[in-house]
Amino acid sequence: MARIGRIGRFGRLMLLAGALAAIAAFGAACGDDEPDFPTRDVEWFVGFAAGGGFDTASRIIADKMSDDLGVNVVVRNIEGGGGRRAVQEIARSDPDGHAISIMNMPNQITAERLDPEDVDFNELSWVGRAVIQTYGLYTASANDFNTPEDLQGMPDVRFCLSGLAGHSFLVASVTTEVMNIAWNPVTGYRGQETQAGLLRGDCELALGPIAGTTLTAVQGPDFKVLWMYSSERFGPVPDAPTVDELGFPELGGSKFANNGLVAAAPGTPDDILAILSDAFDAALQDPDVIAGINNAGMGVETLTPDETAEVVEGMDGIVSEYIDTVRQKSQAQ
Amino acid sequence: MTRINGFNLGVYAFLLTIALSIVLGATAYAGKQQLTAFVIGVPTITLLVFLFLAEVTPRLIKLTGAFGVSEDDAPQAAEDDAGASPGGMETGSWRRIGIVYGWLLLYFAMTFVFGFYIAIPVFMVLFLTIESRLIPVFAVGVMAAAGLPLYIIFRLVLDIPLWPGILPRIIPGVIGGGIVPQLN
Amino acid sequence: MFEAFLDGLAGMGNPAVIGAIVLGTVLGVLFGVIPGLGSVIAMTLILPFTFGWDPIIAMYVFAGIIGTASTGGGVPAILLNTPGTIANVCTTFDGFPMTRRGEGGRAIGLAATASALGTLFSIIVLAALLPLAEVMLRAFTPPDFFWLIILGLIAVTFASRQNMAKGLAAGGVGILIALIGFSPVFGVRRYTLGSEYLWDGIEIVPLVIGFFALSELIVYTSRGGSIARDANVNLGGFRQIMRGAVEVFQYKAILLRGSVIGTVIGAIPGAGGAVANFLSYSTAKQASKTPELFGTGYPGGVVASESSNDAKDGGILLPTLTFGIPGNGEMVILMGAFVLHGIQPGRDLLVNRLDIVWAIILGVIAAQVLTTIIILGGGAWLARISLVPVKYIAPFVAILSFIGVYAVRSNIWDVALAVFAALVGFSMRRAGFPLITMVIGFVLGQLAEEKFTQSLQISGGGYSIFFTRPVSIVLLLGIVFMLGWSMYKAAKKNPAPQRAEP
Repeated sequence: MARIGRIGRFGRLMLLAGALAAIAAFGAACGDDEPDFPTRDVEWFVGFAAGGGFDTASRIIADKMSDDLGVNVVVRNIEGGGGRRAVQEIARSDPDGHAISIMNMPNQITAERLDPEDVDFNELSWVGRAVIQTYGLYTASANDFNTPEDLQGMPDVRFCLSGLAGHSFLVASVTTEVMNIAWNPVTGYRGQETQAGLLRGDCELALGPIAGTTLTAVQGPDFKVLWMYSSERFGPVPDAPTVDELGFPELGGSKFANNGLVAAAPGTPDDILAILSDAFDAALQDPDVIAGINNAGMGVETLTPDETAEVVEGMDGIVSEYIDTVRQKSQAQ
Repeated sequence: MTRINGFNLGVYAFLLTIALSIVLGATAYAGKQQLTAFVIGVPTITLLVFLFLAEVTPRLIKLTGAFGVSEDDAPQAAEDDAGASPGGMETGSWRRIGIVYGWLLLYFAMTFVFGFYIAIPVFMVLFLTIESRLIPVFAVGVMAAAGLPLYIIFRLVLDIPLWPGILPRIIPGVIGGGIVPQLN
Repeated sequence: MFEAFLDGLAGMGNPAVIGAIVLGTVLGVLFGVIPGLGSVIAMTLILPFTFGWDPIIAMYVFAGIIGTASTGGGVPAILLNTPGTIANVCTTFDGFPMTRRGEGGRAIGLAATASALGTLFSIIVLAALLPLAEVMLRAFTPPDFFWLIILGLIAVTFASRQNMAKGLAAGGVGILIALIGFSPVFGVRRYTLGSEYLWDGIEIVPLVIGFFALSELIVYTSRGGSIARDANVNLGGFRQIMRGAVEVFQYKAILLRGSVIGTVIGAIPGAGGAVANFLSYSTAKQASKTPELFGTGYPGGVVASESSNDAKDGGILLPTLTFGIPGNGEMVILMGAFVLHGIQPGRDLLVNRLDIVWAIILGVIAAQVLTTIIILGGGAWLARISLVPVKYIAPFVAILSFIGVYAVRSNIWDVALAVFAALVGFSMRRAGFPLITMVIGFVLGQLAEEKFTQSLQISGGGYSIFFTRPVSIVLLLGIVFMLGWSMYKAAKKNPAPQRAEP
């Protein structure tokens, strides 16, 4: 049972702490090539409240990683600023691999661009991809529009969004520009409030990761997905067309997906990063872990540290390309 | 209330400062972001200025009575004994108030530096011996009897990690210590 | 539906289910009684450990916590003038004066029974209304929401016992400081002075702990003595508590009104227990033939407060179970538990997983009964706290407050904020400001701004949206009525500005 493990952890922590100086001295004296890692519990930061999708996935993965690393991987919720506080926390952690953080990307890049805090995402030591959530655009079933053409004919389509920054705002700005749709945001909708907003007619459209409770909702009779931001049909909602099918491949791929990427502090040594990413990959290969993540409505598509860094660079490019559109629309409000 | 209450004036001034800085600060933000600050801030400031003036100008006090602003309106005042302070509180002397707040500050300072595990027992023994006048042996006994369940509940059952203090951080390699969160 | 109910009832004989209910109840009472902690923290802490449990068992634990925290929170509100949860604030208005009269036991008896009946009422309403949930939710649009918040704020000002000018000013300052920090609507940070600590604004927990628990600590510790003023007073023990428990039925109208308000307000997402609490209290006061008794230790005041804050449990489950739209922090965690256990709220839950629905409903009822027994049985003992000299209580309140504040998000500066808030709160009270209006302004401030902005975004900038929807008009009439009524009362009272002596 988890409880007993926790109690044990405290005792072990004390023991480890006592032995720390000796171990460090020994390691230095021997000039050993094997990195002394991990020497204590690894902290896994989550920038969101306990109980959310990323938190759930983090706990499942961290639990499995603990077995592999031989120390506890402890999930710590550092809420704040839409996930940005956790990002900052990892950006200024010691580069010894004892702290890693999951972050929602490319959302964090957009937020950083709109309101800079001196975090360079290309500098972070990327471990891999924990989860991926494919974005989709959905509406109440009662509405009679279905295609981009239907939307183009409408005066001002309203989107229920969380705020004037963030990823859904970016995706909405880009989509409407590419599809030539006149639109306005209605902001302050978080989680399931969005669905209530759609049902009440506060807005006509909403977009976000089709996962968790949103996935449940669009699988039900009250809502319908108009399209998915992917190039292949999305398994859980097979009837929804992709943006590629609708003739907008520039919105496809998984460019506009919500990624749960995991990073360590900038400048973490490669050998330590390798130990972390091995444990991370092993955890994501475990059928129970995959099932747990899928249950929570998210997908698992693993990436190596190098691939992850590349994906981040790509995201950086997309955000750069559209950031002015986002800024203009945001300031017009 | 015939003489000017300097304490009340200080509180009005403090609240006015907060309200003014938010309203003035709002001018730095775009469009609709200013709306709430102005809609709520301007009436609030007006009320506070009014209260401030009422305190210094005896004639206004009568006026405030007509507006239902007088202290007499507080039904709670009715239940206070003679010698009670305004606001329906029955406190000790200013000196006692200062001492009690001093204890809180001391406890916070100890917690900040040494962490909860050291600050809690030390604070309890100090408070119980000096403030509650228990003999030290008794104070230690009470501390142990009360501290143990706290430790069991918060650390072992609920597993709430408690602030370890900045001191262990300064002396490295001991038991970790806490990273002081950014204030700025 | 009825079959699932019977299955659920039969399942309650299962030892694991009983264990789950007991665990949830004990956690709920514990976190409810300790000021500053609450059901959300209890649920958050237990959530990760339920992973891998049978979802039904997990739901019983959560139901146990949901059903009990605000009941437990009434105990410190009555005995220490420190609301255990934000929804117990109005209980202090009359509960604490009763304690000072040496009637703490009676107040606890009243509170426990009122809580139990309030919960029972709202859960029955919930079961009856589940099929109608959708209609109600669609009726409440952002402008309606905005007016509801304004109505709540005005009601709070009237409910506070000090003068109106100071009440409104404090409420205004509360709203203003709520604007500090990251605004989800605009996606920007405001008034943070570049401080990372203020990124998410001022945290509610350190603020209320400082305002209530610690400023009260300064008051009673500087005074000395014990919380029950006359230490020779006999609390009456178990007999007095039972007297209170039975006495509830003398306040049938208040009890029913509190239960209805709690249920209705609870069902409106975002409004929550605190608003229900204030509305119930102020409505009871307005409707009373003897409003001057409120705030002086009037048993009806305790009934009004405690019936409503527990009745919100049934109401708030309605949008959560039906749409998966959580109305408050507890429901957000419950939704997290749904996700963790692969349960899908909405039609799927109501058709395929009725066992889960009934586990929650029966769990809340069972936990409430258990809590009532714990508090009625242990209340005599709990009530003794108020006879202990404050010099022994003070260090424990300080220690628990510090731990509670720190536990929320592990930030040591939150503790510093609580210590500072204690000074501000103490000074404001001393200068005659009601802290409650300030805290409520603070709680509702950002929500009011959000709903106001949403309304304008929906209408494309037109202000007529605030005055054209039927629900808005009803709420506006309520506001006008409330203002008019209080002016009428003030005008009647003013010619002879005599104190109303009870």
